[in-house]
Amino acid sequence: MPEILRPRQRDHVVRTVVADDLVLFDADTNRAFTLNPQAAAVWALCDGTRTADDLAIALAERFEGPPDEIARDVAALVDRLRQQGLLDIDEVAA
Amino acid sequence: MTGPHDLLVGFADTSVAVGLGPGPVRSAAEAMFRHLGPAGPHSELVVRFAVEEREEGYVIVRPASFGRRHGFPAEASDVREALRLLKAHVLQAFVDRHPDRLWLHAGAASKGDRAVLVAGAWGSGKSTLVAGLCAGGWRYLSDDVVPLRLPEPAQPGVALADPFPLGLAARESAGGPVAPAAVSALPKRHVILPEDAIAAAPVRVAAVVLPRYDAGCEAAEAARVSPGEATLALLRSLFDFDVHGAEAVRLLGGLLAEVPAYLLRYSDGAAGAALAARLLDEAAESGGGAAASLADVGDVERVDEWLGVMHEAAGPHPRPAPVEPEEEPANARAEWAPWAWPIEGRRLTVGMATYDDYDGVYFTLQALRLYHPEVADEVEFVVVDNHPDGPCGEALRRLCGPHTRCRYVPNRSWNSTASRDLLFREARTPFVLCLDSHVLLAPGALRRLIDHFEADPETHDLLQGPLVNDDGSLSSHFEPEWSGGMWGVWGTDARAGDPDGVPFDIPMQGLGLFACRRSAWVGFNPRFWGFGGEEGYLHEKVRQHGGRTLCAPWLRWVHRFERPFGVRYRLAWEDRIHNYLLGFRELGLEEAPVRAHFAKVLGEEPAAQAWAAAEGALAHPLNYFDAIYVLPGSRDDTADLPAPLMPLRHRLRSLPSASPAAEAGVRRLLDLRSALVEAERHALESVAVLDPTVPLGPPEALARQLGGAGEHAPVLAFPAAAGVGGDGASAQAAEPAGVGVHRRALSQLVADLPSSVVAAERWVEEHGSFGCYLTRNALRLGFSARVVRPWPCDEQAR
Repeated sequence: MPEILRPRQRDHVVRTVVADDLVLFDADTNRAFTLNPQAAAVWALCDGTRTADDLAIALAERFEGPPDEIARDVAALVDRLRQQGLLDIDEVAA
Repeated sequence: MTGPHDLLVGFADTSVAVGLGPGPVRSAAEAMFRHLGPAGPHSELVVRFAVEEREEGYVIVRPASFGRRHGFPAEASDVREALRLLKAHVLQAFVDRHPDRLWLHAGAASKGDRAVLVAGAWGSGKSTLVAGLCAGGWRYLSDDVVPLRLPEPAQPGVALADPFPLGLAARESAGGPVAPAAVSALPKRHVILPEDAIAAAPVRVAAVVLPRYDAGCEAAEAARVSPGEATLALLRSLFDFDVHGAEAVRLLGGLLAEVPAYLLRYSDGAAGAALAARLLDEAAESGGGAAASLADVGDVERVDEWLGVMHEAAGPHPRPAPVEPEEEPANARAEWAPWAWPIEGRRLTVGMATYDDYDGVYFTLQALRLYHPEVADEVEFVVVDNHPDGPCGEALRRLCGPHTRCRYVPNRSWNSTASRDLLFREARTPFVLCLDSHVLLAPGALRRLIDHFEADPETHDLLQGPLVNDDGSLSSHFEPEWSGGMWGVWGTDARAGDPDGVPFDIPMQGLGLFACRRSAWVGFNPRFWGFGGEEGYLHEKVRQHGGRTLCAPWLRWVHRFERPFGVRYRLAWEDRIHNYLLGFRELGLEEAPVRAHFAKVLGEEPAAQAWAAAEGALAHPLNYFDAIYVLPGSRDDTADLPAPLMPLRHRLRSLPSASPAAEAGVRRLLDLRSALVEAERHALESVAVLDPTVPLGPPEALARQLGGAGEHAPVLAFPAAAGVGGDGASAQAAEPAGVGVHRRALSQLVADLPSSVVAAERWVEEHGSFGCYLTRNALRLGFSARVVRPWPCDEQAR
């Protein structure tokens, strides 16, 4: 049975809006990250209800660019945010 | 608690007492803290330290609780180290006592009621910019430590910078961020400021500048940095991040949402300062974001790291007579500026590259100073020493300095004809004259050279002059003919005979003397190795770039050809053949005559061998890179070179290890960073850095990786040979065998890598291996996943 991955922001990450950018602070590891507006938009949609494909579709509506490129960037970004401990990935049986 | 002779250091109604006996530490400490006087009769005493002299060095005596809380060492082997330790102790005491402030490793200067905050890693040029601003009439707050108060929520975006005026010391070289190994060669000069040039009260921060020395930058340029990235940059500079955590993110984010931040690239300190001053008056357009990106602040600075950095600044080459009591110059501003003297009015740099030739440099330099007094105010000198640790290094350092207007630039990594490129990177005047270190000029020649360029300020010409032979005859040029293994045969054009004659076109000429505008310099191919092959190449390249190659009859020179004590560097046919082939290919010249000539000179068989060796080097996949550095390994670097690298053995550059005593992994990181910094300094387009302890995969694999778009990737990790680790072909090396870095990723990598032992240890804790760092940061560095995947991350390493 295939599983669908739905990224979700982790609770302990503190968000600070800095003009158009977003600065995330991981209180567990004392590390900070900055997201540019595009990355911040991805982050904002990671609420545990959307799949990476959903995110890509939503982003393609908001930003100019080839949809497959956006999808690839979104997937890479989600993966990186997860590696950095900023996102959880909920696995939901399809 | 305090002694009668204690030195009291004050900050904001608090004081730190330092017990010091008479002697060099005391006089140096008094100089360092001279502007941080006692805070007043009712100030609170925070702590007392004492510096005691012992047989084997110095010890900082401190409360046991302080020692427990902060892991600083207490023992120093010499005066300089004792002073650094003391500085860190005093700073930490104030940081502990004033947690209401954010303590930044940054500099600041103010004009009126507005201050500019200058933040960046050690070596990025903070002091340079701050010194430059103060030279322009700004007030000094600090060049190293800025305590910030952010009185919010009442006033979001308002940050007050307190003065923390440590004695201003700026490094004396145009080298910018130099390799840690080279830093010790660049003494910091203390700059004496009059009291009224120092800010007395807190000033509001109106802009943030992140400086970066960039030799390839014409003078100075600025780019707006996004508020988020600027926030991270300041967080990275925070000494007390651990204390404030999320609160610091919120406060600095609030500041940077309101205050503009700029990345300032510069090659000229004064121009950089002028631009920084201008930025304050301009509200630049904010730049748009690119593709989705993410940056992280992995390395948060702490005082102990700062201490580590400072330890390293002492370098592996301890110098005698370290901390001299500062003498007050009669005119404080005359001694000004991080480049040791102001550039204003200087038009011409006379540069020499040398290798163990003190006498040559000495007589060339002194003859120019004695016999060309009419240009004394328009000229400065640069000496690039290609053997700074050799027998002449110390004497050359002493010869150079403000007293001779000569800057000494050590070059440890690369001795070749192409190292003369560095003269043009280091020059800060519009015109450059490059001399062999054993050339003398006819009187009046420099005056006429400067006037010639001034009259044609956009010229792309390469200007040379007639060589005056020892018998008085003139050699105005080379005829483009092959003879005795050289392209070019001395020739005489009658027009050279009139010393007032106008410059005329020549095909080529010996390169003992040549001049051009700095920004018109076409450069040698960085792949040249050894010596030979550059005559004719340079001339053709200048012409292909739209310039003329001229002989100016008045630019007469004599050249010492005899070297009765021998030449200290390698001269070989093989090098010459390689360089000719490389240069001819670059310029699209016909190769057949080169080959035919060397067959005649050397014989068919030896010439064919040398030719094949040169072809092998040029065809090697790594030849793509402008420079190839080999990290200092456990074995002798060249004795035991792996077979795939043999064709390039003469192209390999090496640097002494920055921290030879450090643990291997830490040392490798620091040495990698040194090599990348060196590549930045040489303004290279691309650089490969190889780890000699990890066997490089076969050339075919490299070629596959580098083929197509691969070689243009910002960062490439070279796969190790299969089977490393002893488990057969499936085993994977923990680290790549090397990394190739394109110029556009260079500064990011330099910024990411640790610059001190302490920072490197924490870096390893955080990232694990370098390979793992590459994997995790692939997106930010512009990697393709295909390239990175081979280095799995050990999750335990987090």
